[in-house]
Amino acid sequence: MTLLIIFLFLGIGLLGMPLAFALGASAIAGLIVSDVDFNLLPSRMMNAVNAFPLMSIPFFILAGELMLKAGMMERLIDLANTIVGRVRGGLGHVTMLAGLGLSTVSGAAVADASALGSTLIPSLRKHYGVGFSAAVCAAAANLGPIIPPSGAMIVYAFMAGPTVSVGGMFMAGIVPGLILVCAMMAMVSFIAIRRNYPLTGEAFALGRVLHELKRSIIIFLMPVVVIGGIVGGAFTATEGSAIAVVYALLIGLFVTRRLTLADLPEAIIRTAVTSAIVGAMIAFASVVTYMLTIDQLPQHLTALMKAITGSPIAYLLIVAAALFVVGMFLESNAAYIMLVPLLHPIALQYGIDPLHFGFLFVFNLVIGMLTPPVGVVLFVLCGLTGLKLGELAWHVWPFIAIMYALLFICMFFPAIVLTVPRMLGY
Amino acid sequence: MTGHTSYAPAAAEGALRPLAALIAALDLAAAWALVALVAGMVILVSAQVFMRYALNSSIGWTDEVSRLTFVWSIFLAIPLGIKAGVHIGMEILTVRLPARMQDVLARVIALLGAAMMTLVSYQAFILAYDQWDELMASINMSAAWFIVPVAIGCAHSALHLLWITMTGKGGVDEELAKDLD
Repeated sequence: MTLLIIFLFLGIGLLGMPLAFALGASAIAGLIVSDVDFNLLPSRMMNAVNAFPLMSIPFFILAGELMLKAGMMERLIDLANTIVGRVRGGLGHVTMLAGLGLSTVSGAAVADASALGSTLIPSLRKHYGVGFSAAVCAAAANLGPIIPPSGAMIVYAFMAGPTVSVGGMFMAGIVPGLILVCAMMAMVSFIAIRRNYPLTGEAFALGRVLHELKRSIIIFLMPVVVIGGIVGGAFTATEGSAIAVVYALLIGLFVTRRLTLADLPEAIIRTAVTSAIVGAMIAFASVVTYMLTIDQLPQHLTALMKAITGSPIAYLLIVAAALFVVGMFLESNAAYIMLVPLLHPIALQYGIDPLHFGFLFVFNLVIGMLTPPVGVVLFVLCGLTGLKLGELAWHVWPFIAIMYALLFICMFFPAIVLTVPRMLGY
Repeated sequence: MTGHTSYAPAAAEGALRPLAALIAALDLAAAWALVALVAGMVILVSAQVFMRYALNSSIGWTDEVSRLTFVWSIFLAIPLGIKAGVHIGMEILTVRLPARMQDVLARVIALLGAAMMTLVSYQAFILAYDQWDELMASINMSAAWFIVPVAIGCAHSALHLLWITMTGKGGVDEELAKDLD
């Protein structure tokens, strides 16, 4: 039955059926073969999404949308410009810092790529050419799911079950995220000096920095309140995300006054549809997972892995290689939903720390968003710039190399990932 | 309503016209329902935090009702995702096929999807009917209200997929898809 479900899913998926529905169709085939009652379908699908933690997905998406509509991008860019605008490759550094700031309120790389690209590429391309400009925006956008809050980490934690907390995953991303920003800024400097890019922006002035910091403080208070509250145990991730929505709404309506009530329906519908893409996959995948569990696939897979290797590091390398391939062909949310229930329990069997494995898993698939042929972040920037996928992939590869280097460093030195969560009791 | 997305019936002639009108009406109703549901979720969850910290009290039913609104929002939004053509798929093989073959394949796949959604919807209606007398834990409402959105959302999705089967590309809402990108 397992083989039937897997081959049917791959077959109709490759023929163009949306993955959520392909999961549903293959689950139905499994039900027919194993003679299980069809009324299992609606009850399992409903129960799969009847989960309080999942509500944080639409809330964080909506909060990010509202913050963007409230004009936070402009303030972030102005602040970054006063700090690093004058150094060589300054606009590239501004993009990286704006991406870092944006990632503290938004947890999705695609949304960040769209926001960064549409705002910064017109200025970037004047000085650096369109390829490098789009590559810098793509790399900066990828910080979104690594720095908390992160939609990817919420989905991972949900699919992994009680061994992984959303707060713990959020904290695991902080140090690697900051290292990644620094490394990517070093790469921007290296390329800018090598290509002799011109100096842009105004000279550093403490007064201007303080002025822009004052204007932006309202943005940075949001992650302090929301993530701080979640980590400090004042509220759950879902409650924190709802507070983020209220916060963004108040900022947009009363502080920046760029948001109107008329903007809300469109933002809400977009949020709901984006969440339903993930929700549909979770709902249909729950039936498949049930069928595979009946067939004892997780146990068979664990036995197979144990027969291949007893080394946790070897397992991490095998998973990394598998996710490298998966990330090239599959959208990351689909990969979390289908693979985490299978691969996470095996990691626990090897004695790998669940947060360590979870972070590596997420980071690997986040990098996959930059690798062709299915690199969704690249698609967004190709759409904004008119670049061909191959051209953009050529410009973005130095940043991908940095990300993979950091991934392997984090794999061999778990303390980089685990120190902050451990300090906070996760 | 959204400023960009049209809920007017798609161009259709003859026998397809009533179906187009029905789908458009359902889309519009789903869109407004989503606005109310997501707004309700935000209000319920943030009110719970406010009550806990500001009034040192709590509302017992917010958890269950907010989950109910979330389940409704997911299943009502699935058909709008089909309309926008944004559900994640693998196009790596199909885009290499000749245009005519792509069209035929898209219709066949949509028909298969419509059949699956109809089956799920039918099963959900039966289950909801069977569970109608069971009550939720915190409020005096039937627990079947958790299953009803599965039935409605899947039936609405089946109509969209049927529409794609009959018209080819009619299910894609370019404006909403662009918005979602």
